[in-house]
Amino acid sequence: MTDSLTEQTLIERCRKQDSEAFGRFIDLYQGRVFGFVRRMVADADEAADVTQEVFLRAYQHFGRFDSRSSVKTWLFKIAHNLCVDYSRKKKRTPNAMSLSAADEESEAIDVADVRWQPELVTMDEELADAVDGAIMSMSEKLRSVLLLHDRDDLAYDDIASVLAIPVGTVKSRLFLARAHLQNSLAGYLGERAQA
Amino acid sequence: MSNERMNWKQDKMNTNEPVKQSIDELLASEAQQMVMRTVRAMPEDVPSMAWRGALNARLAEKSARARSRRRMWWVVSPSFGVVAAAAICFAVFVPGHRAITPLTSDKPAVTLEDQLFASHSDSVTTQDVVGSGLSSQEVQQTSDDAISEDTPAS
Repeated sequence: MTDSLTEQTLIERCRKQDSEAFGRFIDLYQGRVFGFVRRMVADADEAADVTQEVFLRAYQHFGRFDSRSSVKTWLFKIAHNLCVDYSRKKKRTPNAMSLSAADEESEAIDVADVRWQPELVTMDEELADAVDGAIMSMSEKLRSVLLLHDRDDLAYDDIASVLAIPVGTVKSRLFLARAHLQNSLAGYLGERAQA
Repeated sequence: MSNERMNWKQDKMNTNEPVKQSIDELLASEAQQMVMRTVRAMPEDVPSMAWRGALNARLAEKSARARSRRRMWWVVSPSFGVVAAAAICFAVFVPGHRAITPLTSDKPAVTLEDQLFASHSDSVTTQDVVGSGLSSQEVQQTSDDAISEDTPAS
């Protein structure tokens, strides 16, 4: 109750373009949104840019948020739309890479967020990489449903609203996505089950 | 007929129900739940401080631009109002005003009454001279004949 009240207050302040409140809003959702976008957009740098764009759009259009859905659903809707736009643009434009891009990549210094707590990581790196790889190998339609439901904990109705598809389609896609992941990780999951 | 239709609908609902249930059941199966737990257990992605710094900078820029735009609007909107009011005044009052302004010209003003009076006096004069039933040419001819009759033949 207190949490929801706090969130309501935060939303009201964000609607009035309060920068401090919006900073707290970013703190709350940056990890989830970045995680979603990173798996929808293959390139990590592009994913970072798209995530920034998500929050910029949210800041600009917070006045239009009508509270009919939760703010999380609204934010993921923006994120999903931007990911789809990005994929379309990428399909239209041929691959172009500057010669210095590789050098810049190796030289870039990226300081990790101090709030990151490695002890909270419960999954070993190898399995995490395998899961990531299996998720990336799925079609965009299955991937978005799997991430929104299993990772970001959105309800079926909310996912249907974000993706503009019926709830039945959400369920069937989720089933297929999990089945795909199960096949891809058969070795790892078998070991886990035995352990 | 309607009973048949209702039975058909009922049959259709009965046949659809197990399909819906089976999807929910399939999603709740142990294998599917295990995959869900695996996905949920993945480490959270935290963007870097550099990313956050860049986002803050872009937000500050957007915010400043929006603020200046709002300030500009405060300045410009009353000007728009004044211009609109002036345009309305011009459209409404100026043509009427022009109609009631007395004509100022170098020539002396000739009023309608003057014109009427002049026309009337001309016609009266013509009547006096010509009389009714004769044109001005006939008058001229008649007067010439009278002069020639009056003068004695030499």
